[in-house]
Amino acid sequence: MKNDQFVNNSIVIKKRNKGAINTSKKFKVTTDTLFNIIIVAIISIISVSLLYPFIYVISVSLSNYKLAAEVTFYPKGLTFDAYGYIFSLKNVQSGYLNTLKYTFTGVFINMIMTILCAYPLSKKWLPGRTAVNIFILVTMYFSGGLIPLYLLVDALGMRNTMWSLVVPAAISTWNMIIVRTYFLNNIPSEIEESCYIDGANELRLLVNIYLPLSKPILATISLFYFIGHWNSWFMPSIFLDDSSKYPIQLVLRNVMVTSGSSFLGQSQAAELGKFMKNQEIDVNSLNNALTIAVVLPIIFIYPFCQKYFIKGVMIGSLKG
Amino acid sequence: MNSFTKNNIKRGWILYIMLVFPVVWYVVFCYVPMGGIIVAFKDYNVYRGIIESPWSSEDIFKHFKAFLGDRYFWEVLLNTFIIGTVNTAINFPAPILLALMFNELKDGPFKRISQTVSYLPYFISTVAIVSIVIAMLSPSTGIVNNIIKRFGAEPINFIMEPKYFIPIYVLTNMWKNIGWGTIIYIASMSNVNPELYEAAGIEGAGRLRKMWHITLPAIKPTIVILLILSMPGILAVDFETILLLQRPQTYSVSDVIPTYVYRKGLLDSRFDYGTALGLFFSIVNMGIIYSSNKFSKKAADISIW
Repeated sequence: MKNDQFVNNSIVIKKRNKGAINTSKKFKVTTDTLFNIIIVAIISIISVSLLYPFIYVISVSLSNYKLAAEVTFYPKGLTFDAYGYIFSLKNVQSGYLNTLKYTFTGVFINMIMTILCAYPLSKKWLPGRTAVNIFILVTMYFSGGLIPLYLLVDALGMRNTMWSLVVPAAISTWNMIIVRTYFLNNIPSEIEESCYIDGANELRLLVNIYLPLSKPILATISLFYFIGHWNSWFMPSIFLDDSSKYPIQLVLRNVMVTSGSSFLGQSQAAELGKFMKNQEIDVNSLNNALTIAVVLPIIFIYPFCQKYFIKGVMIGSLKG
Repeated sequence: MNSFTKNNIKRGWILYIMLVFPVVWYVVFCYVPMGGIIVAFKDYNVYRGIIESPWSSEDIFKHFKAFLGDRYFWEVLLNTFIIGTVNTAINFPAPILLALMFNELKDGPFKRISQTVSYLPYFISTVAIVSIVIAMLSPSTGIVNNIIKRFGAEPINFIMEPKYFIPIYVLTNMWKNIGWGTIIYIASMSNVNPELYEAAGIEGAGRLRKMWHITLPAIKPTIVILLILSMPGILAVDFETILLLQRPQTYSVSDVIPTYVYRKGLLDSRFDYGTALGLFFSIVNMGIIYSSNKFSKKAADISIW
């Protein structure tokens, strides 16, 4: 594509040269082409450097650990042992299952609470709406901070349960505002009025009119919530005590911070030692393989969801 | 109350029932923790809870005075300020430059793919991002040290050396956020009237001059608003990234207020002291937002309120 463009430009220049067009115009066409080349070159370099770290870690995770230091782009001494090994580990398996459980429960609660909040607040005629809006807006500027939240979750008896992860995060005010703005601007009030006159109540209106008409934005924020839960590790690290309840991100954090020792436990570490003597992997390979295993699902869904994310940012920023 | 309002209240009864759930949630998970701030003025006792714990003995500002008199606290505050300022100074303009370049690309697969690639790191978890950064910087196998070794120099243990902490942090942040940050600028660039560019072209302006005289002024309001919004960023450093990147060996530069609050308050279970620290920090933060907003209102007539 870009090449076509350049080829076309240079053809134009040649033709014009033949046609003895005045020099200033010729000069302009060539600087324009040069400008395009420079921009494309810079963008290419930037894109490659943004992507390179992923490629590098994928390659290292697929390499024999003795050759890991020589990897630049492609794997050296190709081996899938690291992946085979991490997926055979109990913590990794349970980590994945936990993450899936927390993520889907979390998004489910998020969506219900967000809609319950955004829908009433999108009704301009609703008495008391402004007061609730201000009540919510205040929380965007003031918060109790980490420790009071911790003490609260502890006092509610949610510590070391899934609820400590999904309930305190039930609403993101930002996402709620995106949905509210969408309801407010994109649902024609004529439809609403006519349904109301036909005797539909506000709940029917939500289910039959608002939700079907708002599918794109609901998809967008459910993706935002999904990513948030999938990537979450800090809250789990302070609220969960049992390692059997850790989500996959926290498992990865622990491998990374302790170079594998705490995460494997003594018996397993010994086993790993034996295992690795005959294999082509070491703890670094495990760390890298686990990183990729955590990143891959996101990279996989990302191209399909990208446009939804951007839509969300647009609507959010219009409000701002 | 007139009959119109009364009618609307009656009409909206289902809506009020719906609102009960989120409002209760906001009370419990936002307002109760705000009230929990009183721990900062108490001697917290695990067995007695927040309400029952006694107010700080001798002096109600005991915990505040404790950290204000602690030299380490001021070092941590300075670290926070330095990291935040350097990061904002580099990572605030970076997406603007990238957006300007994206804007010069012709629509097509190259533009689409490079934009898609640039957004990707934003969606990757902080743990994975930091794990990748550490893998690349590893003194034994990392690609960076591999290159250094090829030039015959000694490998550097980047993660353990204080002087490399800020560059690593800023670059990690750039990698994660530069692409995503362009979206808003690209959107406001697409609102520029194309006739302006044509007119400038007829006048003989080149691409760079068009960029400077048309595109940049068009996105100026966006830049200013985002700059104000990013001002608290000077102190609100990326807690998760720092927590994962820092090592005890680099605390002298990498320890910032949020990580200090986390270590002192949560890991050492000094809840009262940690809350006092956090409270002091958010008050300073509010002050910065307020004054930057006031400044921009005066200087550019742009305000977020």
